[in-house]
Amino acid sequence: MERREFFRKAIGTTLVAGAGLKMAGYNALFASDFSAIEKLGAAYDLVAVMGGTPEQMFDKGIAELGGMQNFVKPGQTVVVKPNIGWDQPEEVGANTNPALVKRIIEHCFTAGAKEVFVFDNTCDKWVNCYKNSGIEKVAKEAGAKVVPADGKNYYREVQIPNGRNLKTAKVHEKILDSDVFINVPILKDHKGGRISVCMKNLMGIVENRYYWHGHNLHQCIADFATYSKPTLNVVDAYRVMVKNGPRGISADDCVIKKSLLIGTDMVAVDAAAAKIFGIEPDEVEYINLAHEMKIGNKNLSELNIKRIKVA
Amino acid sequence: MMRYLKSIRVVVAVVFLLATTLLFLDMEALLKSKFDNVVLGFQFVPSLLKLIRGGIWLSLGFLAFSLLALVLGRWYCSFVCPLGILQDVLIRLHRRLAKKKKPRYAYRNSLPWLRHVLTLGAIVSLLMGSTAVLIWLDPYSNFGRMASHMAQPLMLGVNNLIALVGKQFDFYGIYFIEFRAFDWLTFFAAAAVLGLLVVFTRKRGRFFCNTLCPVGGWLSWLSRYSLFKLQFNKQACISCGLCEKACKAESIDYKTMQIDFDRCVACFNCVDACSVNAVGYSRSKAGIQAPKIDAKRRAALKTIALGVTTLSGLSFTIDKEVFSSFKSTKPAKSKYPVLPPGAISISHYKESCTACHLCVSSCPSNVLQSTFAEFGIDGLFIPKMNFDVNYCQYECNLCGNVCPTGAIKPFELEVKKTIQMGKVTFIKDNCVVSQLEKDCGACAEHCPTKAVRMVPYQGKSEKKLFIPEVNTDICIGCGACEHPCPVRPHKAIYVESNPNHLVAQKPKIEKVEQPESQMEEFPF
Repeated sequence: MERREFFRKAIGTTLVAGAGLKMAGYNALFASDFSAIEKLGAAYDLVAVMGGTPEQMFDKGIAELGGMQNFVKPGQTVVVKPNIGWDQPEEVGANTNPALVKRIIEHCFTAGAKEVFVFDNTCDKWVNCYKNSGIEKVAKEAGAKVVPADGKNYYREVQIPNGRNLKTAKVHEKILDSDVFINVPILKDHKGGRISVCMKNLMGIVENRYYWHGHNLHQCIADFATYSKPTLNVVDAYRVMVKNGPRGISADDCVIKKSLLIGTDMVAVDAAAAKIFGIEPDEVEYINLAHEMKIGNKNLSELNIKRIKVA
Repeated sequence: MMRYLKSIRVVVAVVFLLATTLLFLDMEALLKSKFDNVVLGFQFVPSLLKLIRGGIWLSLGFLAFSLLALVLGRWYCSFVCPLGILQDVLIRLHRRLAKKKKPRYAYRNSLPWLRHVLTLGAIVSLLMGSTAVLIWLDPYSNFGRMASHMAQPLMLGVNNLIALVGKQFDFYGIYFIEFRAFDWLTFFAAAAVLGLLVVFTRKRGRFFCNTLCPVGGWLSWLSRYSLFKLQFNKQACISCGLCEKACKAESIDYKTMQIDFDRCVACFNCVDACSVNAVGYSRSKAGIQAPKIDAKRRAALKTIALGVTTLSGLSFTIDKEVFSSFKSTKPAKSKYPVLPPGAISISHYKESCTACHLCVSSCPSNVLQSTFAEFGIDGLFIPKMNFDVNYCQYECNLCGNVCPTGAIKPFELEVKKTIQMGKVTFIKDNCVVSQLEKDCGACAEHCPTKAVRMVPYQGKSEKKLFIPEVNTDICIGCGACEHPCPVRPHKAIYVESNPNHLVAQKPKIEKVEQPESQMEEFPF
């Protein structure tokens, strides 16, 4: 009897202590992303860069938005969420460019971030994806904590009041508990969604994405975007997988486009990414839905875009 | 030297038990797979099967221990056999935990006819191409299922508790490992065997080893002719009876100063218990004499013959019946269970697998799962690819590398990537795209070879959609399409198992045309 009571108490105490620790950062994320946009003031809606290495392009692009300090305040906790969905090497273009991920993490720490977390709810076995994408290694080198996302214990349920088909989702606790969320997708072919960019990349912060596939994928992607708005989106379009996506068969599925997009409006960034991919934003149903649901603006002509060419 | 025999045995046994258990607990494949081959090469049934079924001469544990039995007796049973050692642990626990009545063993015979029947049954069924008897009675495989379905979940629970506490402090060195599938049926079967062993060891010591175990049976036949045997030094013996009480095999009769060396499991507890060194190895004289055939034995032989005939007949007729009963009542179900890559064919696989479940407990994606009667009642618990749980990882060939019997043969990764376990089958009428007229593409998204790809589809509405199209030539049957398909209860895409594995063509690689010059202007 005594032993049982001990275990009961020990587990109870741990849970309570854990919950207590969490309360502090809870929901801070959604307060912070609006403040970031406000602070941007007259800056650009979207920054597009081309012609350099991913690191060069990010350095130039983020400078145009006032530097990372505009998005990350000293002492804040940050999630950098690349696409690490597949057990594929860098050259196949299935996962976000590791060098870009590393540079973003470095900028976060320079801006004073207390901690940076990196994860993705992968499709292939997560340990292999983390390792063979090359992202785990560079993220750790840059000082980030690479955290697991496999298993329901890392997720908490949230309500999506403005969702049409998707009313609830289980979201990774690091997204819920961190101050800043930097979404770092790679642009690539995806026949179900047409292209995979910012909004599609959010499928990697929820536990059960198959539900989305069965309940009108485009609508679910747009629905979730009403709930989760990353502080900043950085699109890796250096190596663009234009066919056999999103997993790819070999490096021959890619076109080297040497491009990068940065912005706070996922709809705008996805629309620009569609153009880089070579299709019209209107061909992507979730972009249309997200525009219609006023999540962002897909009309690139109405936006203040900064275009930079790196020599 | 005699004095140290027991200590040596205990040390070796502990090492083997820990190493073997570790293999089954190594869920994240940290020690795989060279270590496996070393440890399991000593195991009797796996190494035997690896030779006779796989033609691999590397691990000859069965030969070494058979030869050793002709010299020194059944050392396998106490030094290496994980189930034997587990029983020794149980016996030790009984001795420690029993408050009043400590277990005491006394000379008793233990149904010798049953041992002979089962051993011969195992051999004959093996010769006839079935592991039906070994699945139930091979000590290593029984231990494997206990380790996989009892010890591993326990460890997973402890691991996840640490992970739960750890993540509160951002410690991720130990992370959650999902219980993707807990197989209750196999768990209960393993637990039942363990329960039996608990009772046996309490009442009758190593009863299993001398009554039910075919390896024990085989080695008992050999050790009858052993060159050296444990024997009494009748001059030195003071008839105190301590050796008999210590004998877990119940094979010592101190009153007549006889040791039934057939049943001796070579634990050397008697040697250790004797205060006057009256028990020890000495040159066997009886060994040369042919054993007398008495009436009892003759009866036993008859029973064996009868049993074996019935058993082998049973195995084959029911085999066919069960498979034909798989004919799809459900629209998206493969006729045969899908075999892991390297299993060659249902016949090879069933001939060689003893359901130790090392592959099940090692599989990184947990796609390999236990079955019940899907391989026939002569193939209970043989693992299959269960795409409800997960799909086979394209970059992985671990199962073939860990399989100790050669049931799943090891193949280089590049070869494994072309083994066709089955063929993709698309049921358009079940598909989200045709039914809901909505995009999905989960199947094609996961396909590593693009045997499933999305092609333009015009439904009743105006919408431009994409629907799966399959190319079975390059399909490897990994289940990456079937697993994520969101349709229930019958999926829209599934793998139809190849009862004989085939070779898939390699996916065509066509290089995307790179634009002649770099993109110069932004397209917006």
